[in-house]
Amino acid sequence: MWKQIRIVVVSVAIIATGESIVTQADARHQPITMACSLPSESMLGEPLVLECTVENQSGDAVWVDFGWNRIGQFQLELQASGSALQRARPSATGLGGVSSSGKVEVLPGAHYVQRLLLNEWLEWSRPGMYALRVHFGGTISTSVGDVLEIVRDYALPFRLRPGVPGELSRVAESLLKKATLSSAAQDRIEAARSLSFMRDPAALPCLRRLALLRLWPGDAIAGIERVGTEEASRILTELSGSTDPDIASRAKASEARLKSRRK
Amino acid sequence: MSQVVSKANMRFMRPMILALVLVTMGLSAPATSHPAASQRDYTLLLYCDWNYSGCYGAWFYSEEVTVVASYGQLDIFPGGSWGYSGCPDCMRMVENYGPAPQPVEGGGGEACAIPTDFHQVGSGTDSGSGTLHFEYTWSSSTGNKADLSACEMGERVSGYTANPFPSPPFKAGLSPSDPTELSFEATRDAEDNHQTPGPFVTPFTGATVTASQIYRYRCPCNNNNAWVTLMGPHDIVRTVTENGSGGWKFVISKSGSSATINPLQ
Repeated sequence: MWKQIRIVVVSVAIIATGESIVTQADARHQPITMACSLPSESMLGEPLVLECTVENQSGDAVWVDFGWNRIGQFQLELQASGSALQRARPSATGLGGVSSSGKVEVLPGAHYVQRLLLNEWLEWSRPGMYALRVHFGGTISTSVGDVLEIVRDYALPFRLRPGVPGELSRVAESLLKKATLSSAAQDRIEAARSLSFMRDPAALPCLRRLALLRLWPGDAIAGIERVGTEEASRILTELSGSTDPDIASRAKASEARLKSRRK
Repeated sequence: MSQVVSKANMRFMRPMILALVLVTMGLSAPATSHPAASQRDYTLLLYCDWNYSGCYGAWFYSEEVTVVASYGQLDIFPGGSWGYSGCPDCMRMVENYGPAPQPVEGGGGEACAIPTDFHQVGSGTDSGSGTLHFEYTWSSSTGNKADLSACEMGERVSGYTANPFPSPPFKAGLSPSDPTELSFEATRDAEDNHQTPGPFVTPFTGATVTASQIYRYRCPCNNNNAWVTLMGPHDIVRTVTENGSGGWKFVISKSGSSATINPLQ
């Protein structure tokens, strides 16, 4: 087992005059902190989610600028032994599109958790040890615009064990459940996206159901395409016959891309 | 494949107790009898899955609740969804049995919150590199935007007049998903960046690609969780033309605002 990484932060104490004094101390004793974490062990094929928590123990609200879609200010580096370094910075792809404003207000005494699905931005295909480095380039500021200092760099090692089909099926079922039944839209959206980036055949039955439910057909069909197996092709063929023209056209396009890749 | 899809608002469905199954949002608990709370809006999504010869469905609630469901002769699948053998009976099942899970805990019968007063904030701006930036905001029908946590806000862009984009002058292989649909939780404001991946390809030549965009929302407690258009459709127009100085320029425009790369290189 990996020991939890102790995170020491540089934090800010705001004194009565309104001036900022930067001190360095343990996160647990500071008024405004950010800490990022990752499960120390996961299964190959399982969604891997980085969680960064901003905690505001001060008496004033603060604003956190997470950038594009609330993840654009995170820079990621992934190193596996014997593999090339991967770098990624989440950003709008293709023609861009609408996204949530990156600025989040954290009220006094409250905390905010931002999640980032690593499978969407980084790729790994083998079990083993990995080292993830995270840099947060955004800002945390007071309501009057003073920028607060925080720890911006995190080293998060993790181990990937081989995927077990039965366990991965349960993971997929759990994500489908969240995607369809969670009361919070954000939880539903994140679960659907996590399911679509499993890149494992065990996810196919749930991705198919997600497509048929017509909730996020684009994510579901893209996820089926990412799996890319013969079974994935069969499901895309089935979905191509959907009475829903959007689902049918997306499935046909995905199927064509899969066939093209196989040539 | 043949498929029957139906949506039903079960708000007024009478429960028919053949089996009690307690379904919580992610937790199981002993099956006990609960007094029914006030009716809540919820949506049942249902489809007939011919491959497995059964129905499949899921419910959406406007808030986190505990429900006692009456399923009749239904099999319970993991995740609170259910199955029922015999596709032709899908609709009859809904009509006659009505799973109609009634919330017994949580909430308190709050009003269904939906986004209102959706509007653009200021003008679109040229944020460089041919990216056109917009910001949007809205309110909640309840007066508290946090009440929209169950709702999604998003866009649908469709009807590209050329797909893939002509190359030259656009980058080769530029083929967006049509439609492009994006969404996020409706509790926060939105920004929209219209960009065009480069590099542009020589020899430059005149070309225009137009797509149609709408902004929309959906809430489980409203309209059976179906999308509701808030703004649009409006055109997003990408054009490469001669710039009058012997070169070429790229202009992207929407709602009276534009961003430019001039000259193209």
